[in-house]
Amino acid sequence: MTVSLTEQRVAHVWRQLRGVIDPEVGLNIVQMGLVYDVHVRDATVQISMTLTTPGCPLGTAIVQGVERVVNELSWVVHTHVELVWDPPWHPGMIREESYRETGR
Amino acid sequence: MTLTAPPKPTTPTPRPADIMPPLLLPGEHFAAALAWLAVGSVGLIWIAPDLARGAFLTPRVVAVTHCFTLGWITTSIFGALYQLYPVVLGVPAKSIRVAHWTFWVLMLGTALLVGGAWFWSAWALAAGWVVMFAAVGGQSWNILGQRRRATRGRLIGLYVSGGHIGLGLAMAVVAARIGAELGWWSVGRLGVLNAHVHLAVVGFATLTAIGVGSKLFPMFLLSRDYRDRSLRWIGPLVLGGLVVSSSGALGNVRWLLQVGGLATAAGIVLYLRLAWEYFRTRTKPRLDPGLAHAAAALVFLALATSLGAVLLFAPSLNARTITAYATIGILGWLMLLIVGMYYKILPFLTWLHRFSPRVGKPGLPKVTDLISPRLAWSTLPLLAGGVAVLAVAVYAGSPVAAAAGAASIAAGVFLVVIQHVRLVTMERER
Repeated sequence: MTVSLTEQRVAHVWRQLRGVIDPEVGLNIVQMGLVYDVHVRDATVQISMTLTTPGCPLGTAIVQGVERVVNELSWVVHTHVELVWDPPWHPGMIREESYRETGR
Repeated sequence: MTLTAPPKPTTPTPRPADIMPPLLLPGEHFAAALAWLAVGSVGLIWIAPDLARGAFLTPRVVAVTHCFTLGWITTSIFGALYQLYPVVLGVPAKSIRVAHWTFWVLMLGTALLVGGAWFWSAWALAAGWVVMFAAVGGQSWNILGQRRRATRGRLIGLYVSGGHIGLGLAMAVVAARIGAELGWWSVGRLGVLNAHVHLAVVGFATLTAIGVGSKLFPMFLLSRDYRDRSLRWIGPLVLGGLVVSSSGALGNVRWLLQVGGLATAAGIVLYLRLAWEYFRTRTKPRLDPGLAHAAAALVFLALATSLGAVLLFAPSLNARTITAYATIGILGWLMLLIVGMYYKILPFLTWLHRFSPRVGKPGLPKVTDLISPRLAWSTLPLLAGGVAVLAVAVYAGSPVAAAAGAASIAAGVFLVVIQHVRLVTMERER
């Protein structure tokens, strides 16, 4: 597999992740800064992400949502979502332009 | 590589939701609390003329006050703690079954105390106290011991424990009053009332709100770069000050009352400064109705604290001024704050249980879509304006204006209840 194809797939995954919305804040998890890293190797996607708080009641639903949207990509065979707490998420990680984009 | 992929295995993921209580547990608390709020708001119209006379010791005033303090505030706090402890401290209640039982015991105790006060039956009040003791004991056993197992949020756990100490002291003080009513001993009526009200409203409810709010406010406002080191001082100042001022009130030692009162007021001022920081450093540009209600509640807390500090040094105390002070503290601060939190928590819980399996699918509503913004915004002027009118009318001694203020509060409460009933029916219809 060429490097450019991998980069293309990583971009596809990031685009898919924008479909997972935090229902309380109204921003997607990429805008929220919850996704730390996306790694693609062949047909396997490894996502490193966090939640706004370790006990977030939405945690399971968001992780399942991430798996669902990534698995919609035809080339994906395996998705691995790793929840990490370091660095801990804070509101400063929200992308500055996010609220302007959504008009909120 | 083929375009037709085989079934895609997914990795096992941590499930933070596993330690969440069943929806029924906070749900029954919140539903009952809303019912008590509705009863209390109707009763408020009934007692408005008494309030305008400054007759805060009449049985029906005591009864309606407890619809708010026990029925609305305490029931809401108990329900919220079952939901929030797993999120904030990472530990659930020890036993869901005991929690359900505790809820029903709490309801029985509240009904006995409200009914006992309304008909002024000392034996019903005593029975209500015993039942309430069992409810608070059950809830404390279920929640407080878990703090030792907490993986995070220990400071918040300390605030909740401190709040329960305030509640226990408030109950001990009022037991002395009930015993006096039964003729077992004699105690000073006003001193007991002073200590009981402050220990319950400030020691229990406010301290718990400060602790839990230190998590909820930054989370809802997305506050950043604020310093919350003052939390180390606020709790000891508030609770320590209350113990001293209550001793002064019970022993009729004025300087002790003043020193303790000032310490408590200093703690509240520190908290107001921290709350201002939460709002000032928020990432969310616009306030939603829930947070606007909470902001208005904080304004009333500032007013109550100022008035309380003035009353500490007043040469003589006017019954109507005291009643206005209690109105601002109980209705303006706590009632409004909890209404604001309901606008945040109840739609979220509904969303969580109804829509969370569909995360990532298109067309999913947001939490804010589950309530009508127009209705939610309309309750703010009705409730906050109603409390302001009621407090001024009580201070001025106007029964008509007091009734108008109470009617405005009742109208606001009616809209609050309607919206939450719609939340439940919406869940059934979809």
